[in-house]
Amino acid sequence: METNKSISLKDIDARVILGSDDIEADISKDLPLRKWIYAWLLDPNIPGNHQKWIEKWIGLLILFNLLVLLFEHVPAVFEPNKKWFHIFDIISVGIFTIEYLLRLYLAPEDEEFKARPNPRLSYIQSPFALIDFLAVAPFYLQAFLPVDLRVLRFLRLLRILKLFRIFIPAYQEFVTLNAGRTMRQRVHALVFDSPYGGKMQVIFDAFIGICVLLSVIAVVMESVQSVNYILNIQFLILDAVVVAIFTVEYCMRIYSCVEEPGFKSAIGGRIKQAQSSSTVIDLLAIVPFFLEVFLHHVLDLRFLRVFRLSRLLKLTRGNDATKILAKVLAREWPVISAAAFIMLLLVVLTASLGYLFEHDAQPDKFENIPTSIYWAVVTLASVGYGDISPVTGPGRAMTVVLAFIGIGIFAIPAALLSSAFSDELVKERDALKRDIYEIMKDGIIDPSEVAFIRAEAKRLHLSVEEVNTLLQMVQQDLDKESQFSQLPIHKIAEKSEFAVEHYKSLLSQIRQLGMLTDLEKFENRAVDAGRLTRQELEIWNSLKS
Amino acid sequence: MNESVERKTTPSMPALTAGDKLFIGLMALVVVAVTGLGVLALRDGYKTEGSKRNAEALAAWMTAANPARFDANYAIAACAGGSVSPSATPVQEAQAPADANESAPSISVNASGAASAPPEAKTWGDCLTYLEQQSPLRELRNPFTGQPPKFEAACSGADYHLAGSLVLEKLVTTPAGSSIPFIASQLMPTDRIGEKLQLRLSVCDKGGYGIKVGEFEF
Repeated sequence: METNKSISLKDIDARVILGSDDIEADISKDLPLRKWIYAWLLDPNIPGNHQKWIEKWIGLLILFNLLVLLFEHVPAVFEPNKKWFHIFDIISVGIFTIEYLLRLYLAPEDEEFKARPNPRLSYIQSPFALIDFLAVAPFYLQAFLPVDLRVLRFLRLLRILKLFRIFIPAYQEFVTLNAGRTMRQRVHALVFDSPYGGKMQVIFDAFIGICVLLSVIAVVMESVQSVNYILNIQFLILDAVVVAIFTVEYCMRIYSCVEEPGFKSAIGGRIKQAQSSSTVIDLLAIVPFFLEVFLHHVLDLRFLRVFRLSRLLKLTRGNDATKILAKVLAREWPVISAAAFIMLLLVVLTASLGYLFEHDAQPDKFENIPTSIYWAVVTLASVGYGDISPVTGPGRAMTVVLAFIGIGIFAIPAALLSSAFSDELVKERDALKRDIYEIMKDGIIDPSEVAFIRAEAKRLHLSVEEVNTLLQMVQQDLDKESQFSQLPIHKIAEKSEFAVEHYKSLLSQIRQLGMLTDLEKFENRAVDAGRLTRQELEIWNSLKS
Repeated sequence: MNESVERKTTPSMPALTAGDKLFIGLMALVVVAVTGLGVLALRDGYKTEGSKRNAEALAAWMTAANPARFDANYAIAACAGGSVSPSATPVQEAQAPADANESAPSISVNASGAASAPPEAKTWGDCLTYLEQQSPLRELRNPFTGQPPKFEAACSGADYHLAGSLVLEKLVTTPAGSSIPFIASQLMPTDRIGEKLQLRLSVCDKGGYGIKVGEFEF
């Protein structure tokens, strides 16, 4: 759901802010059938209806169709599974046809066509409807005309055009957002997170993510001999295509990084970008391909092929959990390195003692201290494979002691990391709470603030309930502040608007006092007993009436 | 989503700078270079595929020859099976020493362990000579070298010169209870083929690593 309007505090709901699908659509049952169906299935402006869900699954079905089309060209896969391919084709065409007919039927309800003289005819002539028609037409064509299988397969490729339903609006938004900006700025908006990227940047990230996954799946499946035997050429093509895409992406990042804050220098900025961990990962993702082509006589090809799995690391770019983990590691590094140092000492000591006690009894297993290190690590880490074990009394006694120490020492870094990770999340959530507090102070949450809360909630993996709790806490704090008279005077004095309100409130109370009390008695008492100074009396006189 | 392609005038983009043009040129170069390298990789891939087809052709021929070559009037004498009892299976052969053929070329061991002198025991070398000189398989070429494919002892990642070579191994089943089901060893030209053999055929890829093509009886 898109939230394009401001939200008042009275209507505040985390589900609205987060665009959760969990909202119940507010659609009247009394609507005419066609309007009712449109509202439920295709209206993009009604939160909580099924439009988003339908769009998502149609998009996935198009991608599956693309994959199926690719596999149709692999006889070893296609021939034995011809029946399943055909069934999938029928199901896909069935769904696409239903979608087309539904849109045709509901065209008179669509904002774009309803005002036209013949909405359905206008719909049929619209570019997206033509694409939808082309996606299903070849299937029906073959029922009436003898069409060559290869031509039919080519025509089926037209289904990919349905992706334009997602791509074109995103492109239009991108062009609008980047109006008047330079080419480098546009490239930057596409590959880096920025307010100018819009949906196009999300699509770009998703595309790179899909490439990474496909590539990794291919590398994994290449190790299955029976699969690699059949799909060797397809894997090679996929690898070349993916490397081309990743190389272009790498160049785009290096070229446009100077638009990033802190990378402004034309050469220095680019070198700095090239040295950043994410760009080094990008480089590692493409390097094996070039090494394989140029140095396959020198390097071990199997190593290079498995090394391609480093592409998985590319997915960490968009993953906030890894950023938090990196932050935690950097913060806790002194403690972790101290623990690692103690571990190292203990390993060397254990290996040395193991060698000392066991070498004579088992010279083949405890041949020297370096070979004993394997046993020491396995023992201290509580892994205990059992392939090497002490047989002498002192050796066993030492193992008992070291096993106990090992549990503690090896657990320290894990415990440190876990606690630091948790602390970091709490800190981040507190920061978000402070931000929400500031956002809600004016009583209105505007679209940019909604986008900010949504992005932060996504980054911190907050559920709708957690955001709701945060909102309620902030709301309570704000309510408390509105009753500032209950606050201690130093809290009131901290904020000038509170101080002014408090002053007004006090003056009002004095006036009320002047109206309700016996003025003569009050003044006599004040003057006779010398309870008020002359100045205080003057203020009283000016306010009492 | 409102499915309409709105006819908007595209807001103008500032003119391209020299840096932009350089970037576009570089991108074009990168795409061309990666495409070129991809084509090279693909060409090597097709060579590997060609080697696999060679091996498959040999495997098909040997599999097809399997029942027929034990007939008395089998046309290809060089590859004909000897006068071997049908019960002499590879499993039983395993009961003999692994190098029984080399150590005692004139003796074969049958199921009962009784020694008998095969009248016309052919060797793999005889059959190979036929294959290389007279059979339709003589036309096969190693796509990596353009020469007829060689039979090697084993593929090795350390030796890329083996690319496209064939590795034919005989599989000797080990006695029941062994930790490995069979022992594989190269089928040598001196190995006798009078008895049925369980074989494994592999081909070496671009990097010299083996690709198993199949296991069959010959």
